[in-house]
Amino acid sequence: MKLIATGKQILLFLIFLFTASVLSAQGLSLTAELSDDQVWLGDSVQLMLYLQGSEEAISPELNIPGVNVEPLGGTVRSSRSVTSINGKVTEDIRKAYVCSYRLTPTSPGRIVIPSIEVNVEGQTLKSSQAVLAVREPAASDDFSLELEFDRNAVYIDERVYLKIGFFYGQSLRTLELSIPGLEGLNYESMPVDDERERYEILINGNPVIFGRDDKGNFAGLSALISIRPEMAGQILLQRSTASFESVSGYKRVQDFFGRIQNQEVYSRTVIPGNTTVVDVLPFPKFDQPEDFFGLSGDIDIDVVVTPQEVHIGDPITLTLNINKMNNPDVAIPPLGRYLGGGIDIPDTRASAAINGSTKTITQTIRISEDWVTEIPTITFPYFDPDAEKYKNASSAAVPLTVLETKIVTSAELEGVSQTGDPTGKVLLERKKEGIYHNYTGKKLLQDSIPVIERLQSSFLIKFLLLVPPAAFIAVLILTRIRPHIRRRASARIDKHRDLRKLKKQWKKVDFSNVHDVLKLFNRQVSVYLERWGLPDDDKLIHVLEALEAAVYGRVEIEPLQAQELTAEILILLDEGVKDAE
Amino acid sequence: MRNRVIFSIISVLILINIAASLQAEDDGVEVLLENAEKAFRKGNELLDINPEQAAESYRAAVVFYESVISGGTVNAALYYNTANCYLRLEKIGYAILNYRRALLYDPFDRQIRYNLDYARDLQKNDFESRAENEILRILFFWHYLIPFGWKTIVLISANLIFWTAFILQQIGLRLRNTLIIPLIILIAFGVSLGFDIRSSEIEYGVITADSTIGRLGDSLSYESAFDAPLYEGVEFKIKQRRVGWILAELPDGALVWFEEDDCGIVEE
Repeated sequence: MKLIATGKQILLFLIFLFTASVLSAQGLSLTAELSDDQVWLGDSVQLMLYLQGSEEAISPELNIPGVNVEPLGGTVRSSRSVTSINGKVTEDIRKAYVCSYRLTPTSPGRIVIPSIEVNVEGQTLKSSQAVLAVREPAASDDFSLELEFDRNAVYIDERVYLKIGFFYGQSLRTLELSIPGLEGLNYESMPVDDERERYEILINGNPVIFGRDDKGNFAGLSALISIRPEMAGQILLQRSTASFESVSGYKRVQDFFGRIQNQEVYSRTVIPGNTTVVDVLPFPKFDQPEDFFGLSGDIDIDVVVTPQEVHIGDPITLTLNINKMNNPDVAIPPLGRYLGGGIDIPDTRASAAINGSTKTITQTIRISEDWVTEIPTITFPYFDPDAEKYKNASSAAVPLTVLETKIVTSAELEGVSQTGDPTGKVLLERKKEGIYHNYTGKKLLQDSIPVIERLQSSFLIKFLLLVPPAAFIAVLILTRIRPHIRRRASARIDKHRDLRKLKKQWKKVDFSNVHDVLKLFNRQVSVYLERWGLPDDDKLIHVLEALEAAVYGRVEIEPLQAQELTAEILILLDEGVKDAE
Repeated sequence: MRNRVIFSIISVLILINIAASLQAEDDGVEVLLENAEKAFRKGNELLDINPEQAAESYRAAVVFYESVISGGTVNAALYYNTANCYLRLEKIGYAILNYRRALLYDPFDRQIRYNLDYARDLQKNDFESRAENEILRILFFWHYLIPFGWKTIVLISANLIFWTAFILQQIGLRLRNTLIIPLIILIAFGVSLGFDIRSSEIEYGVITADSTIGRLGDSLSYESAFDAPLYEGVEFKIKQRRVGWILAELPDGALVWFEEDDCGIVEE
């Protein structure tokens, strides 16, 4: 009965554990949150998408009308906690992934952030809608943002300068400018004079250096931006705003010593800028040369050729510098058409180098005819926007001295370097940059231990190291020690056998003919001792001397004495065998 | 009969619970690895067009790989992949640390060795090698050049050849000259492996902070040991550890103290 009760308790406990582990499985959910539900036009807010229950990286593409969306990336935000209650340890892992976006409204009013959908682990998750109120900035007497182009119209690729001025009559901080329309343009900020104080201000999120530029009673900051328009049309800058925190009042606070002081209270203010526009004119069609390829500026060209004394087929390096280009990115056509016949030019050439408004093209060429005496003049048509007409820029001809003929191979024409290998194979050189690829697959799931630990604890290694010497010892025992032991054991048996035989032979002997009997006994003992050696026994030596005296010394001896002598010698020999063992 | 039913139910529940938890654990690791691989691949795709987002993806890959490792699954490939992510993030110190950890698990891997050498080339500090070290490196070149695993294979082979030749000589074949070469190899590699096993008990560290000051003692009040900071990726032997500080022997033999937070330990 007691056993059944205990069993029930265990069952209930296990059911609880089982249920708890199932319940702890987290559900998937997606939440969208705005960092602020109100924003000034020109300012931006952050939208964060919280994915709970999974660490899968999500980055849905957002298209919200009236809002510029910039993805800011995502990160894993999982948490793990371990609790111990009455000895029961519970681990709680909460998986989460967060990705965020910067939203910059482009028009005032109420903007609805629609429900966002993502597919995670086979499920479609939806966030709830959010609403963002966009307030239009109002002009202020204390602050102004002024934008001004230095001219009304420019040609494509001709630089136009935009002066941005911000003027203020009150303290402010965290100034940022938003100039919609500037993002897609090719622009750069011009350096500020050394004598002016410099400030770094963000324009559309990018830092630009401003210099101090006061105007009347207002303090001011200004920057000059150079814009190179790449398409005909209009550059219209409107709805520009300056966003900053300005003093909106004061509050009374008590300092450490109890003194009452006025402390400034800042609030966010956004003011609008003026609208400004510049027309971008296309290159005129009238009088446009047929081979015009988009070059503009106040172009001049120079050509450098090395060496100027060459054999036919020798490589020559031609360096072409095109200076004072409005747009150095303009693609230069292949040089073949400008150089004429007798000069081989490979299809490929090194990429051009750009330094400021100069473009440098380096081309390897080869002379293929002996009548070539110079690198001819290279002429490019270009448009001069200041003169508003097309012109030609030409390089000077470069004289060449062409020596005896040399056979030019196709590989040389292509500019491929040759090795000394007569087979014409190209020796590849290993680059020393970069890293090898990542591993994937099951290899990453296998648990492992450090090699040294693995080898130290490896039975196989120990086996392979210990078995050869063990085998050697076994062979040594079998080939050397065992035969020796066997020989020794066999000798001991033979010795016993010889002694036993001797003793048996002399057990019942007639000693009536004493002398002859002792002589025979002496011979047999001598044979035995010769084979097995004389034991180190003084008593035995003494009796053996007595035997020799009786045999060879003609000493008279009674038969009974002779019998006792032989018996004593046999006993001493037996003792000698036992002592030796 | 009733007892038997209760025990049967208990057994089934235990088995289901164990199986569910094991499956969940395996699935968790696989998901983390899948996410890590995705993030790393995304980083590679974005590296040229949007380096900031690429870095974000590499950081995510590091978090996933390190989650797998901290979860108990450890192998050379995981450390190697983690190191590659750190290298893409230009965190040379963490990259070298993880490559060295990977080598503990697979010293034969050529990719790990190649990438480690590449990471070491990016390291900014240079140390003059000690003269005695250079001499030892020339005299005992096999000890320094051949990886532990290969040395073990050579030792086992030499051991087998030597004793086999010795046995054949005992049987009656004259192989005196044949014995000398494997005997020399056996001694040379045996001693080398002995040193390796002994040095495996030594802890190694790597500077993981962007830069750190090597000091003469274990406190910020001690003078700096060098006229310049040491940069991430400097490897050292750990001679002693005190609370928050590590006494390090640098490649040129200099002894300096580093703050523990600025370093990673290879053997963890």
